[in-house]
Amino acid sequence: MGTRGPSRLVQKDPETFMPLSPAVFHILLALGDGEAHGYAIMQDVLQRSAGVVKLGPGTLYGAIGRMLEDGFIEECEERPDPEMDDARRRYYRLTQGGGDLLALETKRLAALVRSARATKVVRKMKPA
Amino acid sequence: MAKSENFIATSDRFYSALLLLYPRRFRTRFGREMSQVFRDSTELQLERGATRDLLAFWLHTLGDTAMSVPREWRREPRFLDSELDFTGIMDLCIVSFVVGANLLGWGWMGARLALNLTLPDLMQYSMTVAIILMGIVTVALAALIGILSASLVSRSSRPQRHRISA
Repeated sequence: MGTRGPSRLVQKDPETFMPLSPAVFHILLALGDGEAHGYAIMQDVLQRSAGVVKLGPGTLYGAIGRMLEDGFIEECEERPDPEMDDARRRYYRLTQGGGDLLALETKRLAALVRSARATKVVRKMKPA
Repeated sequence: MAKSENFIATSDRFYSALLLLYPRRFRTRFGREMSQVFRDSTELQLERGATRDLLAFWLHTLGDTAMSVPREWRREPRFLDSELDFTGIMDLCIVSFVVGANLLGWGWMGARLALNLTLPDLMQYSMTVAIILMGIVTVALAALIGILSASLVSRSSRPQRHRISA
């Protein structure tokens, strides 16, 4: 799939963007398995977070705008199936930088969870 | 069916009005997509049929707009010219002064001619209130017209750059 318009490369170290806001992390996560349009991202975030993270259009596209500027995501020129889809939708996907950022944040959160599990309070908790 | 279509159309119009609160650059780039997402979400809530969910969705959308509009406006100066637009500021001052002086002068003359009042008559009711009212109206109108004019002039003269292509 091609991309629409030139995508700026990430010039800053991804570490400088850490920790990510929940909205940005969830959007990166939603795009982790491939390209998606705004509404699909919104629904994915809702399902993945079991209804806890609800992104409204303003928050969603504000975050998408920033991520486009920083080069973490890019817009796809072609659609997965143009006949089955609304032409007004735009699809986004992760760039290399976006994938790196997602991996980095996942690693950070995993370390945090390991650290939390090592505490007395969490050890006492029954596994869900 | 027609009822729900009417509801969706009304919701669309209302949300389109809310979108006007966002900066133009942001609206141009994402407005259509945001409207589409909002429409899809409204349809989903209507399919579910629970009025409470629909109300919660609307409240959430209003809250989301209230949170995201200031955020986008705060980010906006990054996309404008790095140098302050002194042409716009000068326009604002000059137009405010000219319009203010005209309003003051012609308003005064109009009141005297139309009501056939002499200077003491005009001020006999309450000198203080008259002066305060005149000041408020003149300054407010002059500022409004000045800001609008300066904004139009500065916008038309500003090169179209730092725009994300739609």
